[in-house]
Amino acid sequence: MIRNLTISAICLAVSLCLLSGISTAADTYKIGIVTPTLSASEDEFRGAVRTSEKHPGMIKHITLPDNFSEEQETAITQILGLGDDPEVKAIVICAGYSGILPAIQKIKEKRPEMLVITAPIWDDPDMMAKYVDLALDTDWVQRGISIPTKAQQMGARTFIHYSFPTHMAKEVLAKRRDMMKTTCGKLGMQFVEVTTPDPTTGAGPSPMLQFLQEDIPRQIARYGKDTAIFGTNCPMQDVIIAKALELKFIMPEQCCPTPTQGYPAAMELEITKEDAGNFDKINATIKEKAAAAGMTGRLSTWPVPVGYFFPEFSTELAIETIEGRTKDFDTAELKKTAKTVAGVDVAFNRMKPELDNYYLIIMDSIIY
Amino acid sequence: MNAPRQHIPQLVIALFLALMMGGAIWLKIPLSWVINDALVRLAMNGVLVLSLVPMLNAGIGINFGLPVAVVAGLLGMCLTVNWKMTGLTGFVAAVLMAAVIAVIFGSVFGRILNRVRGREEITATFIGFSFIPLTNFFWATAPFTNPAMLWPIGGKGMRPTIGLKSSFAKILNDFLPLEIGPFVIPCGLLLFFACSCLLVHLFFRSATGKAMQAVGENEGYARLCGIDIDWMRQLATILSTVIGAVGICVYAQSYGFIELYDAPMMLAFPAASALLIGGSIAGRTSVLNVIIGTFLFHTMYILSGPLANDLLVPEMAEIFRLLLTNGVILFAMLHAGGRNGKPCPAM
Amino acid sequence: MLELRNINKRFGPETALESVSMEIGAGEIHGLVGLNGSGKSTLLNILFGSTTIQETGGYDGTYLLDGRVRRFSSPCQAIRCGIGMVHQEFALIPEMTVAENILISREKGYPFIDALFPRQFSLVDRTSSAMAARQTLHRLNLDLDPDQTTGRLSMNVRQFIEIAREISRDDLRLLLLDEPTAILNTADTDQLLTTLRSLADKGIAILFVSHRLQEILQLCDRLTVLREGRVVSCCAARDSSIDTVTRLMVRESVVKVSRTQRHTDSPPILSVRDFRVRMAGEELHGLDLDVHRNEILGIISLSGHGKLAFGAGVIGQVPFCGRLRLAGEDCSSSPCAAMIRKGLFFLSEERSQLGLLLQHTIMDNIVFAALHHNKRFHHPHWPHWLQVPDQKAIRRHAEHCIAEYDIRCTGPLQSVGNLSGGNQQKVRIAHALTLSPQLLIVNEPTRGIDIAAKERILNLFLDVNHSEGTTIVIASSELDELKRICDRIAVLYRGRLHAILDPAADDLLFTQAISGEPVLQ
Repeated sequence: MIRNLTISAICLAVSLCLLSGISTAADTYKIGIVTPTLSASEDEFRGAVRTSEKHPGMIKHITLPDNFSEEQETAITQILGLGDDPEVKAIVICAGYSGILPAIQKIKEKRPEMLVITAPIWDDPDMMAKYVDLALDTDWVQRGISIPTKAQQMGARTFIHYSFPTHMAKEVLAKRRDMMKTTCGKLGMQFVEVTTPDPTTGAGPSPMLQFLQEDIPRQIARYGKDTAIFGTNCPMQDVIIAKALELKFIMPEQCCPTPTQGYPAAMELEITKEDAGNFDKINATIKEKAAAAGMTGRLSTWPVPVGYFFPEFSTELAIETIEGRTKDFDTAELKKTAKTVAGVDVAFNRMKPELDNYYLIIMDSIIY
Repeated sequence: MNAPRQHIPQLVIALFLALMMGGAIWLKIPLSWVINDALVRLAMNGVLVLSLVPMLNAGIGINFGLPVAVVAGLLGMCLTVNWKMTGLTGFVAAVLMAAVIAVIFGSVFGRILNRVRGREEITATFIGFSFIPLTNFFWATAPFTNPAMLWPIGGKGMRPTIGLKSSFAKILNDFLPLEIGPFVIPCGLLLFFACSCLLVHLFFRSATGKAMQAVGENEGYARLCGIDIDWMRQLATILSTVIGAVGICVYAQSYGFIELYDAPMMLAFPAASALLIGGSIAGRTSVLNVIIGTFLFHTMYILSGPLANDLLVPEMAEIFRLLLTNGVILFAMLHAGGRNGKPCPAM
Repeated sequence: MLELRNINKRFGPETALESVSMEIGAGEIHGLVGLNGSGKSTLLNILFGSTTIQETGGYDGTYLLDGRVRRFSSPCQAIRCGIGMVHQEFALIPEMTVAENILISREKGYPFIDALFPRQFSLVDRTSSAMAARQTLHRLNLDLDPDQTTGRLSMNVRQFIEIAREISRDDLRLLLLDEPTAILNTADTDQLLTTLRSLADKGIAILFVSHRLQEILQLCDRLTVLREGRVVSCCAARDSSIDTVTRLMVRESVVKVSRTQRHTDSPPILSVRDFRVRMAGEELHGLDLDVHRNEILGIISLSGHGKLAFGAGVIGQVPFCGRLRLAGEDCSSSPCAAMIRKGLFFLSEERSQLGLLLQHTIMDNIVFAALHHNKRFHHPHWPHWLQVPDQKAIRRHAEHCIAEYDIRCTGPLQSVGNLSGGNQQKVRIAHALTLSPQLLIVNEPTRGIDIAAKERILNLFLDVNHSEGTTIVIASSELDELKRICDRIAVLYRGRLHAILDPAADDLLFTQAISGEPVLQ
């Protein structure tokens, strides 16, 4: 009996050693993708899932805790765990949080050859540029120029900016608002700023949404149909797009530009299971509905959500680098890969002139 | 007894409203807009506020567990949308299904509340809060099949907001609209609200309603008079839940969207604020309190927004409105507490 | 040492104390006796500076302590002047240990820290505190671990701890004892009395309130008899006997017999056997009692001996053990509603707390239970299950009741909260009679009610008993009134039936029975 047990134990130990030997010996590598959970941020999560379906067996996808700010320690341990896996040669972090940089620092200390791409994380840019191989983010401030410009091209004469005090206290959003104002001035558009009830105080977003429902008709009555409306808060988009279909004004872009925000609820898009995540199909459906509502050319957004675009784009970059097809991340290289992933042109701007590995992107829009 | 003091909150708010009204006229904001919006808002939110009344009168306190009722209503509506029932049939079906689900939820909810005598309000708050994550899980996994309700990327699970335009959005708002010059009176919506109010009012005139009020005012007395206190409290909770479920249907059809996930979380607070501003006193809340409170509370929102934007002092207006509403609520609670704290002397 | 001159105290319209004067010297044990409601507690409250006295309008008269005029507005001031009080209800903190309870707010601190910091910041020295507590307990001949929690101790030990707390004070000058022996057995009582005697020998004045005349006569130097708020006698204890004191306590007026007693042999409508009710402060420990159909039965006892628990137990307000037969049916655990449907109704002694919906109208109050339990006021045109009330019928009935029972009000729509006590009581009786019960149990129907309303209410009981044949049980401490209207009077003592007396019996006999003396009939 005891002998049997000993033999089986030895067998087990030997086979385990062999197995691990085989797996380390094989010449495959893996890429780790870090995203928030599905409920915290759908786009990033689905983007990572799609990437892992595209490269089966190559992707190690982990999700950060739902309440990141309270469980930062757990998050860091999770990321370090990825770094401990010798198979993982690149880590892509797509989580709009700040406080992840320490984990990256630790990994880089241990394994300087590890490729780390962040798209995005929100820590100090100079520090990030020092430790991260490539940092990507959306160009929030630059959109202060691109959105009014697009609105004017779509025929807008007035530009209404809906926001509330808590948002305007955030530097990036306030800067964007100021940019929009100056751009409107340059382009000869009237800029109107409207403050809504604050959704962060007490009663939640419903007073804000009710206010929008009542206020948009008033503003359109005052400024006419050729008005572009932009709201800074995600829940606003449902109401704005629904009212746009009703009152025929211009909706140049949502706060988070994607066909999956606002449009599905306002247009009651029926997206079958097979088409889910197929952005060409979704964009086509929106185009149809817009045409049916007589809104052709008055609605616009980015064709793919950035959150969905980033995981796949970063992974492609990582693969190219590991397989030796790219050496440096120069703009031309990035643009080429981005075009294949997103299907439209993407503009890359440096975060600061002196940083050569921190880029902010703006995607070309789709106008329905 | 001290009638004038009792109505100070209403007077303060009414005075403020009058002031804002004056401002609106001075700034040439058309009065018709304000009145049209105020009427829609009154009826749209009124049913939700009304739903607090049975529990308040049965002495259970303000129903901060309103999310439970709201989820019942959302479920009812989602089912109708899923089965593609539209128009008036869709709305009636949604209300009926919501009511049936609310009866089930309400009886469980009531049973829990009966076990936590004296701490109902805080328990209800936490039941509401903890119910939301549970339903979030449900929404994300529920086997609904109408593709207009599912996540556009993942293809399963419900979207956070579901448009109702093709099913029953504005069905009551657009029913029998009465246009008098620039004024549009949404008769259908108001009629529905009025009927709900009347039903609740009549209920509290019936023997059961009176017994419920007695339980709220003096539980010991009600027990001595042979009233089944636990059942009365449970009935009140069920009623509140059913009215709340119907309330969210009315709200959603007027808003045009069903909002799932975290949206119901904070709904109880504006409703409670409205009721307190309406001058409600625990155990003696009438339908009139509901109507006055909802009207004052929401008209304040309607007026303060455009006024503040035209005066270019948006931050100030927001602060002022919050200060005033919360202050008035505090005052109303202090006043109610004073009455409860010192019961009327015998003489 | 203590001197009171012409103390007057009113609670609203009622006079609780009327020109009460008394003196207590150092080292004297002074007894204070009187029936319930004769003003003993009020007097103690004034002496101890209880806040209720201030809140109800203070008192008139002079209160001298060591020759200086005092007017305490809170017990703290009284304590600072060396007055201690042992309450009828325990004032111990159950979660704290015996030592902590005894030395509360007088804990022994470390001398070093006490020298540096004010008293509020002193660090409690547990060992010396426990020592001090043990010494005090030793003085009471009580062998008790001062470190155990108070909540688990028995009632009589807790009573001793309460006393220990007061006598452990070094500055104690005057000790007020409110029925300290009520829950003690004979041995413990003797123990306590010895301790009190030795305290008095040290020069502490003691005011001793008790219903047990035996003890008072045995212990006290002098005693004061209160009756209806007036001092009727102040004499040396050794010159008195139980008989003379009892005579002084009871009003020596002619009994107004308003009805002839009947001896009913009709079968019992309600009978209880080994009836136990755990009602706080009013427990019944196994009552055997029959209530005959169509009689008026009085129940009397000292407070705390269970007379109020009878009705509360029968209706089901407080759970009971034992057997209960109503109209021949065994109904040992029925909820209130079932009992009411069987024709029983109960009016609690708590008029405003459990008796009325103060914010509702007279009309609503009168028909409340009837609306709920029978179809009398349901609207004839609507289906009954909707329970739509017939407002017209209700109003008619309310107006009839107002006239019939002489309720003084502005109309049936007046709020009950605005009525006077007597009229509220009439509304309650109207409410009960609207149900036309077969058996009505009333607790303290005339407490706190002026003379005129009192007579009106007593008459009402007689009327309804005569005309409708309603059986009525009245639990009251007003012996005089019970004697006037009852057919039989049950005397309870310590939660058990002590005697059933004929209302025509001598007052002396009643007083003895109430104090638990054996009665021979």
